[in-house]
Amino acid sequence: MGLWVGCLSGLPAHAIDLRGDLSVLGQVRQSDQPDQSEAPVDFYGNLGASGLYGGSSLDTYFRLEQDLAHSQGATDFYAGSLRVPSAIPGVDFTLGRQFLAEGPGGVFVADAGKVNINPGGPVGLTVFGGAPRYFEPTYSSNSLSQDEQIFGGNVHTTRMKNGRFSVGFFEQRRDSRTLRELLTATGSRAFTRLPGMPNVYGSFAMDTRHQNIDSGTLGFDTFVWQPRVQLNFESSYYKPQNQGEYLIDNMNRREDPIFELFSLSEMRQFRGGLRYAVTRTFSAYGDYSYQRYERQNHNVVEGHVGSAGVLWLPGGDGLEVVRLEYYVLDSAGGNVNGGKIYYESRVYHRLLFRTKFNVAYYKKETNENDTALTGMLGVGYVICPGLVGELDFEANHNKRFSEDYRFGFSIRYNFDSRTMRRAQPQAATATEPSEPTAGRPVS
Amino acid sequence: MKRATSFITAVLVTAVAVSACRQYLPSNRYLQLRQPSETTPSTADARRKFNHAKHMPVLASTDVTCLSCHRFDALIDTGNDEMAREIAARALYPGNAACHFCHVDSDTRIAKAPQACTTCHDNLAALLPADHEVAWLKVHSSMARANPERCENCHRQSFCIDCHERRDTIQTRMHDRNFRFFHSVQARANPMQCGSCHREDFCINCHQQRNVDVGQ
Repeated sequence: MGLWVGCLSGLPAHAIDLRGDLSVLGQVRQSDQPDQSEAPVDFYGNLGASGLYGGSSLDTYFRLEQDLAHSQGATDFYAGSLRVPSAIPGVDFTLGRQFLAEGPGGVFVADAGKVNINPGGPVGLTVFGGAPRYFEPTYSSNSLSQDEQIFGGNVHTTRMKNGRFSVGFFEQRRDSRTLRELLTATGSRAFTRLPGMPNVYGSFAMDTRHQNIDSGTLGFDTFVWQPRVQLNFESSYYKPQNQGEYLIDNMNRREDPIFELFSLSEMRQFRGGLRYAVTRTFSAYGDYSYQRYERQNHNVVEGHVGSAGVLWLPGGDGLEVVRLEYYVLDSAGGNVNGGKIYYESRVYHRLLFRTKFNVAYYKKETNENDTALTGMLGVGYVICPGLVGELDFEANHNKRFSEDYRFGFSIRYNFDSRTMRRAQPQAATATEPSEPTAGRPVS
Repeated sequence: MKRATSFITAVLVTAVAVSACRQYLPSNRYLQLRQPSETTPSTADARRKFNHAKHMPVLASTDVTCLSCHRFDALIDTGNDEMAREIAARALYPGNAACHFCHVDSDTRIAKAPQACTTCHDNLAALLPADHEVAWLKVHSSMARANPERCENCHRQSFCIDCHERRDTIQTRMHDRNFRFFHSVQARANPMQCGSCHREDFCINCHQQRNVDVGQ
């Protein structure tokens, strides 16, 4: 017994956090095919463990889908990575399928490795590389993977108060050809001592292989005290690389960004947004963006995207949300005028309620016009802490379906538990890495 | 369809009306209203997590003493002894500046000190950054590019994946169900935005296989 106690006391005092977010979603609906129904069921698993040896953590996220009406299925594996933040002092590495958002090169889910090196000085280094994986829902092409690789890295500031700057490199290759080779720079800096506490941010990417600017963004946020208005302005430039008519063998498709379907030139964008806090619980907001690009040589087209609305938080505690919004789109493709209303309530311990309605009148350049409606009601019940069941009803009216009713359900289970290898002086201790929890609904 | 639309509209109007008078909602053994104290944003959870034993070796090695964080010399003179005692007791507890001295990205940060907010904070509602308030969905990409570690403070990668990669046909997370019928207008208004999540084959596959004219 004494030996056992001695062995236990010799173990490091680790607390391992296990957490999970499991959900099952289902829906019964009409199919696009005549006289057929669909009954898709999705199972999502988002599981993780942290506080392992060396402060490491495991993270995974996957989806299993089965259409019960047609016995068809699909699987997606979004993430499965191991992060070791402190096994080697100052070195934080992540290995496995992970979400990469490093610099202006774009965002990817990739089978990759990423290493952050922070030697404790004023600058740190990040390097990453791997093979991107793509997920699109169309016709079961759930994982479009080609012989593609991405590599990159950046040097960034680590001790700059209220800001960060980085310069880096990004390369994307496919079928032994270089698609993009970017020199990148990003930065953000908040001036907290200036009136309005402005925050300036931007990013820049230069394609050295094609000798042109790939993208650039410059923006700033500020706050006006009287009246209480938050403002954001942003200007962007975008010119992705045209890869010509090269076709990927097994996909019979080109490899350009979507932008290349609509334009042969660069795009310039300006957008601005504001939020006016009328009272503590009531605010108004608006957003407008203007885009300009050449559809063909010397054929310049413009696009306008705007929205304005009000947000009301009755009680000011966020347990109820009421949002009313008007939106407008205007482009070479036509124009849309629409409105949305959304209501959510969690005022009861166990009852959740949400409903939304969206109506849009559109008129397209193909002389089509219609009013498309969609509405949804959902009622959820907290069966026990972490376990929520919800029933949904959806009704749509559009050009394809004059009446489209959908019935759905979801069952969601959140858990977060901590295993103790040995008694701790206090119930909870700070462990590294910490586990982010934002974005998960409070149940 | 008119009936369904009328029904949903009626429910919406009722819901908004109900929200205007929450204090009159029934509360009984089956339907219990949440108490305001449960929803008040607070950072008390972070204070409760502090572990002296774990911090002592580091603090000792950096010449941080008890007095660096705790004010034993606070002189409280309110004319009310009971209140003075309570305030003096509270003054013993250091504020967030003491924690952030080492943990937040600054010149005074200790390299080994974890930076993530969730190291100490469980209640993140109290920590919502001010810049998340206005048009955040539209500008977050620029901020995330500039400082991805800042996002990781509070969000797991599944948070990004949910919008950028996960595309089930049951939930409408990014686009409402009627978006399909006028997406061409939006795509022409801002073709750069589609590329944030989709690739060209997404457009081509659907338009080819369903014999949809490109103009639609």
